[in-house]
Amino acid sequence: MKTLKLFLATAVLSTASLGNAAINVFTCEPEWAALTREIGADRVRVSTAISADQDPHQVQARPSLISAVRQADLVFCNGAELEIGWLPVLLSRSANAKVQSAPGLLYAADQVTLIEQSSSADRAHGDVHAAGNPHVHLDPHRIAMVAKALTERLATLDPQGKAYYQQKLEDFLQRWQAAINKWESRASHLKDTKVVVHHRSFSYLLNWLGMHPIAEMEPKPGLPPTPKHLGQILGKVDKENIRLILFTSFNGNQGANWLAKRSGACTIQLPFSHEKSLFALYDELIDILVSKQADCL
Amino acid sequence: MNMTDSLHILWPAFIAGALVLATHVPLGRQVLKRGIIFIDLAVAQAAATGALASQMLLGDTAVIWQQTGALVAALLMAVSLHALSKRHAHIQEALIGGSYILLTSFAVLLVSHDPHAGEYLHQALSGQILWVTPEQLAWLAAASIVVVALMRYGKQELSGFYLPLAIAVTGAVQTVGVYLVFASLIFPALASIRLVDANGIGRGLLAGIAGLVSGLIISLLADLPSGPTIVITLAISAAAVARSNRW
Repeated sequence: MKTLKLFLATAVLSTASLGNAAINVFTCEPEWAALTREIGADRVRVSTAISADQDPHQVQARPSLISAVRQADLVFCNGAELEIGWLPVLLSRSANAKVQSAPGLLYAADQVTLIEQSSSADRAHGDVHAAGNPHVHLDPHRIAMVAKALTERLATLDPQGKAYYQQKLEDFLQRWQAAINKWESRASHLKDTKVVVHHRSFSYLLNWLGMHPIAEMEPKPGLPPTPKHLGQILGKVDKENIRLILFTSFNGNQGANWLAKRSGACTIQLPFSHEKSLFALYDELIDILVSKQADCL
Repeated sequence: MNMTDSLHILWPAFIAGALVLATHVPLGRQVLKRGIIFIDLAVAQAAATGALASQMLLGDTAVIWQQTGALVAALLMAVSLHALSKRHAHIQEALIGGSYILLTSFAVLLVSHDPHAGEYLHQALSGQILWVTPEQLAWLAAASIVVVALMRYGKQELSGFYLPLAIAVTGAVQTVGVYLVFASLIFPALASIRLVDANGIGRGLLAGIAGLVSGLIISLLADLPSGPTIVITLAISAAAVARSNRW
């Protein structure tokens, strides 16, 4: 009972402190919540469906999710089929006419070009997302493009705040570009490093840093790999002398540990998102990769 | 969250839960008496495997064919479990458990070459009570009517228990998920197992509805996932009702 009271108290407090926001934004993932806070700042009230270490493919139905979408002026999600298992149901259950399509609905993936697009022939061989790899938030240049699209959308929904959003965007882009330069120079040693990934969660990050994924542990998420597939991975790891295996918390570490034991490579658990800030997410990603690479090679 | 919002969120879930309880309480009492409590898992898995099989065989087809596949597989499962129960009554629970894992493994192999494999496997058994749509409610209501009619007028074991169980579980698992189906079947029935049908079904429903309502309210106030919350409150209310029966 005490926890319940505490919970209710914090819920009331967090709503009260954001009293004079102009628009309500419901975001699916924490990275898009962070971006919305950068651009919208005091004019938006942001809620998020999942926390940073949760799998965006799967979400448990909580009453507050429906309630948040009901009150939203803008639903801002990743798109490219990432939330296909739960967002359509959530949108229809909310019965909020404003957010069923643009301008009340914005997908980050629609604002950029996607990598790993595939024909139907490729799909049968393990490409999960036909539209392309959805995890665009792991490329900082694409984040900048999404930020611009978000700014336009906020201005459409809240014309009075147009100048405010524009100014926040310029401020963000300036800090973001400076940060990109810093990250790129720190990570310059990572270029051309070959790695094994658990699944294609980090393709955009690897692309940006010039690293090469040589093999995937679990090409179809949720389905254990076959013996032949594991044999091929082991062969590649030995032949190409790969030292790093990347995975993230919701992948589980079983596959990565198995491969590490047999090949002597290092496992690296990378964060997939960050509750508070995109800057912090990239700081962490670069820190972990750089320090682990130094330890392992 | 204001009152209308809360009602908008909770009423479809309440109706779905009540429809499931209406069929599962009497079925659950039968299941307990026969001592075959894992039969619902086996039937649910048969339905899921059937849905996957029709999807794989017919390609990306309409939902109606998946549902047909699910229902046909569940009914076949019920018929064969009934046949087995005649000949091998003493090892029936083992046969039920065995068919469950066989069907689960078969489903994994069936979709192993499909890129969305993991999602399909997960989807088939994980209905979420909060996300019930009006369309699903209509289907669930229709299924419940058929189930109640069969239990009432079905004279044999097959038509009065195995077939209605297959229909009830197939519909319920997709709307409220496998754990909540299991809980609706077992907990209210446990609370009323010592009573005869006339009182027992009423007591079971009472325990079930109390668990459902309190679970929904707690999940609303504390913002917890509704399915697992209701499973726990169902257990608590069943224990409370079972205790009050003794006095």
